[in-house]
Amino acid sequence: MNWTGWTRWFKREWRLWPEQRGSKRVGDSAQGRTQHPRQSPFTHLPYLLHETGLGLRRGGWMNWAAVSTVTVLLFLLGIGLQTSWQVNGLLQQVGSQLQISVYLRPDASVATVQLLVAQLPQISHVEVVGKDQAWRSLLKDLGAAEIAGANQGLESNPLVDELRIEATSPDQVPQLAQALGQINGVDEVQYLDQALKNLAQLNRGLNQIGLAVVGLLTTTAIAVISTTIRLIVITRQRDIEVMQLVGATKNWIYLPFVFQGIGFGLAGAAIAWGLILVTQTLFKHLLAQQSYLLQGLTAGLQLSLLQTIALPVSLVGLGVLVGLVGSILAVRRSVN
Amino acid sequence: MAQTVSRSAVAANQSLSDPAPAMIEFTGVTKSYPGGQASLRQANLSIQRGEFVFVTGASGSGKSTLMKLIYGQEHPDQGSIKVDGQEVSQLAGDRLALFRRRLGIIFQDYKLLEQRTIAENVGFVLRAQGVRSAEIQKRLTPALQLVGLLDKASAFPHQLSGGEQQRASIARAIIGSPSLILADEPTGNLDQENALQVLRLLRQLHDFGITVMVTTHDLNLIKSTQFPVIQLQQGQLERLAEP
Repeated sequence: MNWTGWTRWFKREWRLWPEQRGSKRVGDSAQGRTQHPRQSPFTHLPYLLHETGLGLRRGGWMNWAAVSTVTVLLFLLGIGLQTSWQVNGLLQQVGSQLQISVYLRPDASVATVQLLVAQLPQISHVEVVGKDQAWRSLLKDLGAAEIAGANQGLESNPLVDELRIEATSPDQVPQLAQALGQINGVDEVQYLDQALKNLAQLNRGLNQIGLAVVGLLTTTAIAVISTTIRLIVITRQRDIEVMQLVGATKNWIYLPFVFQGIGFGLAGAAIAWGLILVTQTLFKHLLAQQSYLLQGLTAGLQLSLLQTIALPVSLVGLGVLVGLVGSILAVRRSVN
Repeated sequence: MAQTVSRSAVAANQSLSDPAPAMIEFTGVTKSYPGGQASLRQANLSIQRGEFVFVTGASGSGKSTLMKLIYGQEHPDQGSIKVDGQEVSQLAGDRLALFRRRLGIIFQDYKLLEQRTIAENVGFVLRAQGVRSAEIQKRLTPALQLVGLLDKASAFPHQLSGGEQQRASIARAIIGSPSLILADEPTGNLDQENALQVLRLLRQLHDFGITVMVTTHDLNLIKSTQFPVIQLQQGQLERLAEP
């Protein structure tokens, strides 16, 4: 086909384009001409994903800076959440018991104290744990091969005789503990309420520290993502300039950058979740090799089904939020 | 009834007597740069629909600024610029983007995206406007065929000669079926043969009824046609010749 042929053919095709239909002369209908149908960007997901991928390719190693920061943030958040839930689980596990430990002075007679204890009400059970028995049990737990060798190392058994007393009702435990403490020959009284309080206090402290660390890291991650996206925007300045000149709207130009930010958040969440799973597996293996005493804790460390689901959902949620905020900040700066 | 007929007749007469608004209308436009150098001083200009005009002037006289004022990249300090009846200086953001969809802009440096193929570069205009792939494909073939680059659709800009790149940028300018084409020194980087080829394309587009405005300092190019010339000199726009 020669040049005239092309022109004729193009003219025919040109007339078929929506803007030119019914128009005697091109441009005559410009005032009220038909615009391309404006469509929601979400109906063009393939285009947006393609542009997002293009941006990520341009980002190169900068992407890893953003993803690794989000990963560190989400890993610490995940570990913190998991630890907090596990400590709560432990508290509930041990909290179901009603045991009071009474430690006697070295010179006190077990039989005398036991007699006095038996006179107190609200006691359902008393068990005597002699210091030799406690020592053997401890050495067994610690894995010492020979008691004699351990004795030699410490010169003598450092433990004292203990009475393990079980109350009939949890409400009676504090009063009972107070009464037990006043018995002659009793050196120290410990009951789980106290231990629980200590553990709960420790948990609260850890939670507060964790919250502060997560807050700080969230700010850092937002700053890193924002800077990364800003750098990617700068490397794609020419594309953006051409897009602006050909009539692309701001949303259409900048939405792929927001998608990139969300991508960083999702990638960080996925890696963090993987690392947490690896950590959990390693911890379980480590615990399986430990003493029976520590293994007993595993029930309390087990996450519920809801928590197992909530953990990755939290990671993804915060990851997406951080990516969204970081990219929107970067894009706002670029638009302005 | 008689009054109604009479009013209708008057309206019809008015409609017939009212000239169609000019495609480009500059009224008392002044544009200065921060250094104080003025590229336009109280300039007036009227370009009718379907016209083909050259704008010429010395280097640095403000030809590119004139173009930027028309497509809203720059705003005048004073005066009014109307394109297709629309006051350009009042447009910003998405309204400006929608306005630019009605224009086809051709640059001296082509402004092709290096990492995209010619087909992607040309289709990019419609893609950036949210047009569906099927519609883009429908328009891509005739646009590339018109500029003779259908066989180069899969090539990247750096694999093409300057003339071919400029033809690709023309295809990109026309794929959105604009009513006005602004070509800023389109032949500035081309040899005579390629320059004439580009000019021939622009004339073909003019034949379709598109208003075309070309800035150039190439007198040979201007002399090869009979189109009117607007000279930009000392901040004033003067129409030198009529066809």
